[in-house]
Amino acid sequence: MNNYDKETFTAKEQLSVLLRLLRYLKPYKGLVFLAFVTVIFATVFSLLGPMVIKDIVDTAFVDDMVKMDIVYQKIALYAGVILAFALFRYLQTYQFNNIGFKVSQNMRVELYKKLQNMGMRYFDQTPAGSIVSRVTNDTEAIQDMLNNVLAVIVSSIILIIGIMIAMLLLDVTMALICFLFLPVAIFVIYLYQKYSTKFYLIARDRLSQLNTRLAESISGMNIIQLFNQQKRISDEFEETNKEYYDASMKNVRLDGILLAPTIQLLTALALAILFSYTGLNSLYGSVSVGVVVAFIEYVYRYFDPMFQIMERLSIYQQAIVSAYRVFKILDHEELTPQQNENASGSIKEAKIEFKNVSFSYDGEKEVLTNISFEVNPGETIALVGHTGSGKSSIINVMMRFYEFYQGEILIDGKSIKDYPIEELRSKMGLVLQDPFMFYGTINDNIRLQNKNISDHDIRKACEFVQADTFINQLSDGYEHRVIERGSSFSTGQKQLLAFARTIVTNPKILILDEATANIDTETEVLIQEGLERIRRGRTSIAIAHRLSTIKDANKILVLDKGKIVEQGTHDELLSQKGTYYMMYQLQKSEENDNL
Amino acid sequence: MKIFKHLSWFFKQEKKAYISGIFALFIIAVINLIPPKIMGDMIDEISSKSLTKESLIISIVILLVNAALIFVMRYVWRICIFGAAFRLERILRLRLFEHFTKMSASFFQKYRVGDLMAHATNDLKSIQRVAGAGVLQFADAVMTGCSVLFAMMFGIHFKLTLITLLPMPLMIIGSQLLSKRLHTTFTVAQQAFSSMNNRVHESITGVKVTKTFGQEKEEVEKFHDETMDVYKKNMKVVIYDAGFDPLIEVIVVLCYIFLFVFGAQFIQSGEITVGNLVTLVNYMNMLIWPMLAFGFLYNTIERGNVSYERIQNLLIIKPDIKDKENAIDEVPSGNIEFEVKKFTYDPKLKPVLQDIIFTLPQGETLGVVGKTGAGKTTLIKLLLREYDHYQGTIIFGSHEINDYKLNSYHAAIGYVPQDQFLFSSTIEDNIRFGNTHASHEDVIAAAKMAAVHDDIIGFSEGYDTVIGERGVSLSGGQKQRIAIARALILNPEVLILDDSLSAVDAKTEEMILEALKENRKGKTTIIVAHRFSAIKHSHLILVMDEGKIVERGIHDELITKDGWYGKIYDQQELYEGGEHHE
Repeated sequence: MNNYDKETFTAKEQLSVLLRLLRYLKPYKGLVFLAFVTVIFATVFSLLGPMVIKDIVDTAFVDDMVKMDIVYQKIALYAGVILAFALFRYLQTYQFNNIGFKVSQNMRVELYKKLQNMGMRYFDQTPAGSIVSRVTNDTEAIQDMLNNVLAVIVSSIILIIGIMIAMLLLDVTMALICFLFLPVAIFVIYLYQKYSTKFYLIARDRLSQLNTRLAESISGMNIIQLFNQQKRISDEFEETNKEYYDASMKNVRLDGILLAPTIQLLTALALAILFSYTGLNSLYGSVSVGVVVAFIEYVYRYFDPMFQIMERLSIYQQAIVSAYRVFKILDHEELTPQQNENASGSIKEAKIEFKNVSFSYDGEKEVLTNISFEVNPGETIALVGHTGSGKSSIINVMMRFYEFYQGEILIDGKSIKDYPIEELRSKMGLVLQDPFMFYGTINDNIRLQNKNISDHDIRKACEFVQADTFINQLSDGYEHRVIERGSSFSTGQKQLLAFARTIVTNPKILILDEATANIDTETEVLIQEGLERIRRGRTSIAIAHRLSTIKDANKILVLDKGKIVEQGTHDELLSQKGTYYMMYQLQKSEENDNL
Repeated sequence: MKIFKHLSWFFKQEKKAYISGIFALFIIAVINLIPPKIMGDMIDEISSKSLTKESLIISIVILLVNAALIFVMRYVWRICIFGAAFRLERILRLRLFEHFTKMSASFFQKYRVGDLMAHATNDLKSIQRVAGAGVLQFADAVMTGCSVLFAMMFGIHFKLTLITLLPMPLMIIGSQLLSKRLHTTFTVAQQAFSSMNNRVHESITGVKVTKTFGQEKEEVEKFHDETMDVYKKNMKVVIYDAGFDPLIEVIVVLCYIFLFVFGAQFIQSGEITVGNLVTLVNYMNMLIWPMLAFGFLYNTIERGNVSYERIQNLLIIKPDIKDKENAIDEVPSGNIEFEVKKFTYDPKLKPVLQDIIFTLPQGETLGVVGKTGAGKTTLIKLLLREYDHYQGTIIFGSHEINDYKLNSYHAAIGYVPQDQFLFSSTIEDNIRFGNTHASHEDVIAAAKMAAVHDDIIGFSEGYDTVIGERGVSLSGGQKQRIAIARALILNPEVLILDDSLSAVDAKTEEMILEALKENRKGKTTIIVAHRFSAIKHSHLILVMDEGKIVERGIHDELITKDGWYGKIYDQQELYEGGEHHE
């Protein structure tokens, strides 16, 4: 079972997650203090209300004589108390929400920062959707709890204690009778939490399955139709649909028994016992009517907080699950490779050397073994080989996406780990196989977030890679908005924009991962021209998928299973009649078959 | 209230549940009136010292029976009404889903996955709320509201009740005002949240770019601003949201003040007793919820209406492509005669296909090449019957393709799409997608033909490997080959590969083509490709440009001609000296 799926915890685990979560309140000590003050005041004032009513009944309505002056006086007091309560109640809600939103904001930034410093491996292994939902949805669940549950729990506890004190002050025996109900109510809450958590999580899981199925079926509808599987897929959907319904009904039934009805039953029982007691008492002596009236009010208020807590248990449970997942990311140790301390200096010549570099993704299976090569300033080295031969891994270690564990990579004779990471990033330009486009304009997509790049620079870069021709044809030119990951552009156009994005930073070293799939030959010609232009005067490492594009490379490395098996220029390699020769001939012979 | 009328079919269907549910609610509304009255009377008896043992026991018993009855009734209505509401959601969801399965390609082009998902989740939820919470709110507002009012006015004191309830309308007005502000601020906050959500999604998928350009710090700063925006907009919501409870309290206090000030006078004049006053206090508390329910009901219905309309608008869409009357229930087989004079997706735009005429004899292979946007995929879409508003005829076997039943027609076709769409289940299930009766051996045979068997057994779980978000992610080439196996297992009359070899390397491509040649003797194959190596053995090659066939013939003829094919062939030969990346 995947760790992220963990949804049930022992009490101990829950507590530790909760405690850690509460630590996020620390920076807002002042706010939290204020929130607690407001909740205490709000609760106290709400408790005072029935007291005043009792007072009116007892003092103003004595022996069929109504003392209007006392009524006015007390009613004014009562109004004052409730107004104060309303005010504090407002402040309380505001403060707790403020804390919840602040904490979630804080947590989001912390998560985001952590993610930005996470090694590439994490992103290669974790689906983007699940990372996104950690940053947004899980933090929202936590915020929900801080907004709604925290205040209710605090006020409920104060309320219950307050009511207990008030009851004791009014009548000790009656109070004790009411106290007897507390353990029963707690047991009900315990039962409810036990089952509702389970049912709730099941229902939620079914719903997410249902939605996944739905989304997938919609995106694959043409396949379903073409393969005549409408009936089967609908049946399968209905099955999940039913499972969700069943899970929901379990919740409804549980709520029907335990949630509001049980608490109301307890309230009624308490009132009945109360009246039996006072009624019996009144047969033998006198009873204060005001006390009875106040008790009725208190009994209602005594049980209400329990209902409030039960109603919010699922929010709490969700928050614990979410917090667990968030902490899991925050505790993730696989950070991006670190530079050495005192890293300094800048790249001038851009001579690259790999010395016996070995690397493994999982610490077991080596994907690069003793890789050594040299690229002189301004020269181009090309890497060729089958999938899994280690081409991409060379880029991954060169770009410091992954840490290599053996050997050295030198730039201008100095270890790559001794340059500040900013220097490496600004001097090494990587062009990805899949040109990623962001929401925003073409300008934004080329500038990214580097404010030092002027519009003029962007224009020059686009002209240089010959992207200007198609940009100028757009009605809004460089301000054209890129929609849906650049779906309105062809792959070739996107690739040219990616070239411009790299070239505008004027890197000394270029690392190129050529695009291959789904490109028609004319686009390819366009891209090849752009590539040739940007390589000029720069040290380049190119992963080549089309051998012809690298015929003029200064050196070609042929990789197989993480080792360099051949190296030399195109002509040298051909004359060796080895792997390269075979690769070259394969396509060639095919093409020549019919000539 | 329109929504209740729209849903009348469902209420009729669930007559029993709703009648029992509402009956239970009615009982609750009525017997709920008893405890306050009894308690008030007891107080009077206590204060006037007229309480007897008998009347005390009777009162207590009534209170207890009452409580038990309410407990049962609450359970009944919950199961009845909420249960029905969930059934409505389930029925509508299935209806929507089955509707989707009947829709044609144009429908899915018009509505994005996200939109359709929103309909099937949010809109269904708000309709469900009408059938559940809405009915409850309605019953509560009307029945509880009326019965309590009745009891107060005619059971205790008419005038005092009216006076006491004077401030209540303020609660309705106030909560409506708050709701309105709440709604607008909430919408703004939701937008901020969803923009943040998009931003995170983009940043995670584009993390390599960020890292490449060393912009982690800037990213975090920008994200910080964005989250602050969300925070601020949410706090605006809180300003109004936090007002609800205090508003209710203040209005209730106003009522209390009226009740006590005027009640005191009525007590003095002997019109009511102290016990009556206490009863009124309790009744008044019972009125708060029905008052609010009116406000909630309004919102529930409003949202339900909008959602119901949205769903209805989807459900009334008729599929573009459906079976004709007396459609032929026979799997087509034979030659394909394609004669399309003109086809356009949108009459306002210029034609996508023009004068596409060719014959593909049974058992032969057709290759289609051309630039991106030349119309190759459109041609395939017409063959797949995704659109039928073309001018011309397409004959397959002895009939026009539109004369066959859609199901029978599709049974003749094995299609491998461009986008390599696979379902998130096991590899085995994906391969036997179109034929669930296929044996494991059939699956392996198909996988071998598609040259993906070796890849599959390389996974630790083999054919049981789960693919997709929660499982293993496959390379583009592996996905393509599994999609090919999925089509091959059907052994279809016509196999269509729509640029489905783009991500496999030259050697594998050669293996697959060889396997096809061997295993598909007498069956027709159509291959759309960018790379000529995939189609050069075809019996007929069509070169398309701007929706027209510009060159046709076999490979050897075409390369000698001075056309686009020859030119591109030379370029490909130049570039494709070697391996293809997967």
